[in-house]
Amino acid sequence: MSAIEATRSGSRTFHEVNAQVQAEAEAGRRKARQKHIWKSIAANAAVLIFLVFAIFPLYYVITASFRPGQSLYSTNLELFPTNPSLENWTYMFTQTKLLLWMGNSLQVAGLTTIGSVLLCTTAAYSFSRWRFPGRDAILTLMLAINAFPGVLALIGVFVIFKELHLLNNLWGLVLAYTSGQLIFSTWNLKGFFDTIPVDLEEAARVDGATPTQAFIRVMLPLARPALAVTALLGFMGGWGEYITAQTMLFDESKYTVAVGLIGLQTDYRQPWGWFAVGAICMSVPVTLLFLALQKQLQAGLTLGGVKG
Amino acid sequence: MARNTATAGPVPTAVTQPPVRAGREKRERYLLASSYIGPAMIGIVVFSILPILYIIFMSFTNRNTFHFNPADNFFSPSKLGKYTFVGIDNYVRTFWDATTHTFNTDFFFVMGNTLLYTIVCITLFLVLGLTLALLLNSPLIQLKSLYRTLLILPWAAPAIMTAPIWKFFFNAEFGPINQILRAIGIHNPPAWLGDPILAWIAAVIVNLWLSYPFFMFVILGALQSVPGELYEAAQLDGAGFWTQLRQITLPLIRPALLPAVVLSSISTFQQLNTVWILTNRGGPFASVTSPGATEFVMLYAYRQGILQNNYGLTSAFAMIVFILLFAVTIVNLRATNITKGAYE
Repeated sequence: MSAIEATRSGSRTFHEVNAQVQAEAEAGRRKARQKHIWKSIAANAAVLIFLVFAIFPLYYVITASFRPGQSLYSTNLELFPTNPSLENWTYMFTQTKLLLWMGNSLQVAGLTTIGSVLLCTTAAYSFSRWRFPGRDAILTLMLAINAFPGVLALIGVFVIFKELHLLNNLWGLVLAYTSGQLIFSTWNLKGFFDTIPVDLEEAARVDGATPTQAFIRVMLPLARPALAVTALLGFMGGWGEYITAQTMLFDESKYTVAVGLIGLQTDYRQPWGWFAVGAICMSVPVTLLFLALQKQLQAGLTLGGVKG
Repeated sequence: MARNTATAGPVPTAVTQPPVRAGREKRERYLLASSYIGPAMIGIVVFSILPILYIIFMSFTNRNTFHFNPADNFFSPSKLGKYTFVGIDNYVRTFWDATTHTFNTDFFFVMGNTLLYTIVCITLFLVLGLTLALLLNSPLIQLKSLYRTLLILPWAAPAIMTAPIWKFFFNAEFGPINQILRAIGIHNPPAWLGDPILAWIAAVIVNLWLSYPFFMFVILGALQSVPGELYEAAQLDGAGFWTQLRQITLPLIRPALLPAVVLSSISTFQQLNTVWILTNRGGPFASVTSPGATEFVMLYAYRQGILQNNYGLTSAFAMIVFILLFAVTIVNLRATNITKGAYE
């Protein structure tokens, strides 16, 4: 019964009934707010549980790197190391070639990044904007190659490296890794280029720009998110790869960081503390790159896909 | 898109041009296009196609420990030390055991096991990625950007170092997982990597930890492109959360997800390093001869083939896996039309 009807029927004064209705509405709102709060608490709790799954291993590795010698071998959970020491850190930096390996990896990953950005952007632009014989066949062929089990092609890659005198050579790895990035990144970039209207380049062309100038001055600045993805994947591909590097490199001084670190373990020794230090050192550059590119990455990965 | 891009490249003036000039312009345009894709194609040919051709060649030879160098006459009968042409023997041997005249059950077990692993992993990637993305996109959550940054950190961790570390996590005596289980009162926590089913689950957990950030990230990006008005309209019509999810969210983010699903399915099917290190080469093994509980396709090929120098046999195996995966890719692409736009 609304306040007006109740007043008309004369049973109660308007003010009495109005106050009751207001109170009921207020109670309803409070209830909705309370429901919202409970929902919000549940949602936050769910995220926090996932966060433990995501972060606990990282946290544990950081503490493990400060546990000396045998203190990792405990059957009880210790969230903080009882006798923290820098033993693992000093060992890794003074007794192993960790810094040299990281330098090698940085060199390989950096050159792979540059190489894959250069090759993928030009190829993707060509596939996106121009029609030429064999275009569709090449695009399908690239997908086909992607389905080949890469590890089993390693024997073939080894033979190629040998013929080209690239064995035990960091440049050989750069070339192999760059080629490895070509397929995904070209498809991804092409998808992104497809979403950018062609009008802008046409305007530039009417103003007298060559196709290459239109590509560099108009297209590349617009494709920054996809370039960020290409660069990040290139860096990650070169930085953490293990099995090709392990097959192609023989000298300890040429090792990349993944090969060097895995080489520290033997059948009888699993040096967890050293691994922890190595894993942290390996994660730092990629994490920094991630944080720097975070804003760009999301758009770069999905826009290409939406159209793709 | 086709209509937009058809006019790209040199501004079309063909109508008023004499045919000779049009031909030269066309040639110039092709030249420009080839100079753009040329370097990438050289890379793909040298480091992807040539090795694959070499594998195809080897899959028809008996190259192994006993036949290691090329014979003078490739089609001559087999001699010790020299490898020769053996036809499709390697392909047959992958399926068929000639000594016992039965199918090679190991091969089918490994294939089925890997397929199951891939399906379970991809489903979990999608469920966890979607849940986290929806949570991070919902107004119920505060501190969104902090959570997002923390949740993508596992992606930055190097996969090759993650495997030995997770192996320690699952260690029966000293691993933190069992330490936690003991701390909450479970006195005899399981020996994870020593049990076939638990080792299999452990491989899924590690793979999930490594891969969910990518899916969460892609789905989060895709959610940004869903117009908010659709949800408002659905709410006015009285649609609940699940209806909105099924009718609006999922259909609209599907195109963005498919490339990620196809690529991740292939890489999960072909996973080697992580599981190899985690379960000590695909174990636990019930017997010396049979494949281990987590011995997926690539681990099987690596252990049976490369480690024992059975290059001919491994190459045939690689070709079979390749043909299967390529067929699945093509069927997937056709069925879902994700390349429809791409070829236009």
